[in-house]
Amino acid sequence: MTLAILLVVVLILLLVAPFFIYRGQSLQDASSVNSIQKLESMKESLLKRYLEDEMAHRNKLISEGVWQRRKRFLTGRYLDAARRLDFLKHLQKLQKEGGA
Amino acid sequence: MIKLAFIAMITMFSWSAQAEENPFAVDNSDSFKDVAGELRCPTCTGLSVLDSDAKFSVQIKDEVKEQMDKGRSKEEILEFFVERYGPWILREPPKEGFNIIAWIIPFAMLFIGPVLIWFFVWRKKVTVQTFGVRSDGEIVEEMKRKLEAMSKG
Repeated sequence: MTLAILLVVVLILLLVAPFFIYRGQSLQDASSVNSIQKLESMKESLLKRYLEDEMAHRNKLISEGVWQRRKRFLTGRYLDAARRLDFLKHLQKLQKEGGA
Repeated sequence: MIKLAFIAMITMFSWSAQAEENPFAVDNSDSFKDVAGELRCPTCTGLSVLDSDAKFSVQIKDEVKEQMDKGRSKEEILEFFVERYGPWILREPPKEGFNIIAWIIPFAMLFIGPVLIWFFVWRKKVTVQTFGVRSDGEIVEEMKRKLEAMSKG
């Protein structure tokens, strides 16, 4: 029984660890990024990945279904990053106006 | 024969007595209906004395009948009841003085209502605080533009 509980705890830790250990990496959610530069580069890398996958689809390396799923995923991530960036830029603008 | 005549007399007497005592016996003339229809039944909800058989309504109807028999006009009879019970006895407020507002407001609201709705609701533009965040459509457009530029460059 104790072993089973321990096993479950370890499994849960393994599952959630990437969200804490690899902050700023691919698993990090855009809403938790507070750096404008980081978000700009995130958007850039998402666009690069989009073009790579599009090319792979054109070369028939990935199927239509997979391409559509990736397209949706990358567009969604781009939207998240762009929204966060917009918000941070707006905040920066407000701070500048308040400080002036 | 005498017995038959006696029975006939008793029967006629009982009929006439019944007609006199019947509290629901009302005048069916149009003028009576006109007057009684304008008086409110004090013990009912939303009924005129004409439509009500409540004791009080029957008394009022009798009074109306009595007044009509005296040759009084509709206005005089209504005035008599207003003096006795107050203006609430009338089913419709009189079209004069302060009561005229009750007549004007519903019709006025038919015309003023849409104007007020337009002024307070439709005219106002809905402003949503977006905190600088663009719409999804705008961001997707930006994404397409950048992708095009990157694929060309």
